[in-house]
Amino acid sequence: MDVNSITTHLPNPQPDTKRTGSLDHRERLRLALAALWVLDGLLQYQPFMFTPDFAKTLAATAQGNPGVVAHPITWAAGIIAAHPQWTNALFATIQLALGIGIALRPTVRLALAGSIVWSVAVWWFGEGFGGVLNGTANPLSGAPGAVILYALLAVLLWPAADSSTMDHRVTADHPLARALWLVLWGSLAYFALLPGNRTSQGIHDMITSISAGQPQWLVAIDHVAAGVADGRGTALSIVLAVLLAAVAVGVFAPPASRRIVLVVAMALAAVIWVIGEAMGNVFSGQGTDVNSGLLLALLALTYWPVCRTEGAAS
Amino acid sequence: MSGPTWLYDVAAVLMLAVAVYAVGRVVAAVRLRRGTAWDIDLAHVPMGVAMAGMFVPRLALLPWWVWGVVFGVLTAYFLARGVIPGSRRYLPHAGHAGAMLYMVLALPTGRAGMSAGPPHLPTVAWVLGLFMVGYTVVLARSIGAPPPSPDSLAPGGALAYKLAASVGMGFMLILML
Repeated sequence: MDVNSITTHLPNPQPDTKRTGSLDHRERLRLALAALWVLDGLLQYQPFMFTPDFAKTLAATAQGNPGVVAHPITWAAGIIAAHPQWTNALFATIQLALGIGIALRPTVRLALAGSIVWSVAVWWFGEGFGGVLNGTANPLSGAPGAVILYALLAVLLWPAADSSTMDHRVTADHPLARALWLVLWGSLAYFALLPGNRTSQGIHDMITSISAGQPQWLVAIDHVAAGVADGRGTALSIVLAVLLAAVAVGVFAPPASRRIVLVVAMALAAVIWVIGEAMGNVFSGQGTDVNSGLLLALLALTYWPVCRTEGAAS
Repeated sequence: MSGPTWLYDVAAVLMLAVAVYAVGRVVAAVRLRRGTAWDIDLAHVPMGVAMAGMFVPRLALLPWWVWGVVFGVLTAYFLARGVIPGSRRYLPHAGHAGAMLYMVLALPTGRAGMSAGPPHLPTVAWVLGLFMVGYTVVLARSIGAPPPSPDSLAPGGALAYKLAASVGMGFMLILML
């Protein structure tokens, strides 16, 4: 097996999947992205999002941001607060349509392009750029903002011009793709060491605060994790930062080593998702998406070196 | 906590449309001598009607225990069909029927968004909701693909109504978290 023969390097390595119905690695990932958008749309239809309180949570993301960022957030939150029902119905429907559009063959490019625009807009107006600009970003709680990862995935999973093939314009080995990975995971390492995140009780307090209202099994996991983090926040932040930094530079490793790095990345993503984010807080009735952990894992799969034989076998 | 009534009304109309379309497919297939999965189509009639009753309680036509029996039988039927080699296409419908069984057992008194009590096994609702989401995108991907049989009756329509049913069920399951 020649691991250097990456499927995505080849101009036309795949069978016609419309005819065969088979799925290649990247199309599976694109369907996973579509599923996440559908899920986000359904979560956005929850009753809480139709109340003015949802607008308050959006407005809160303006705090600490520069005025040029904060004022538009406050303005948008005001509109949503005044018209919570139709605005939220619109938001939810857009996300549902993006998900179905990405899954539908004729509209995949249009929907992916729309998802990039929508992601950037929500990253600004809904997440305040994930706390990146106001010093509150924390890799354990969703930095750099889950929704911007959707945009990154849309770029990486953009299909080729020939719709009958599933090769990709931006491959995992493309310098731009590697640079994006380096910036993303490198920034997470940096955020882990921000003063507010490396206090001795920081991780413990974050875990205990998010476990309220979760199912019993998730509370039990959080309880164990909080016990481990009790008084060890600084040390754990340093360990986390080192691991994140290793993952960041690991994208430049040869494919065999890169797989190990990507497994570590997925393990970190799982820890972030379950312990740090309570699976996107979806059990609270106020989660609007699955948060960053699951997306980081999906991103890692996007960078997984795929052998030429897999496409032929499918 | 309750959501907007109009949203549940829209969802109920969509689910009733699924039921009507499913009936129409069976009738049309018989009259036109075209192929359709009549058992799958017919199963979506009680699914659509029961879902409408969950979204809008005044549309609840039957006691919830009756729906429980119906969906228990349908779940067993689709599971039995699905394990037969070459009939795996029935398994997702076992998921649909199983989700309906869960919903009628977990929501015995009415609308999800109006439920005052604690959620019933929210993790189950989450897992079933994920199934609905996954099945939705699989169905969407299949739209436009060649039909399984040349004489299939409106294969795009079949996919579309199942997709609508999946979205409706997924919505209800998310409301139950």
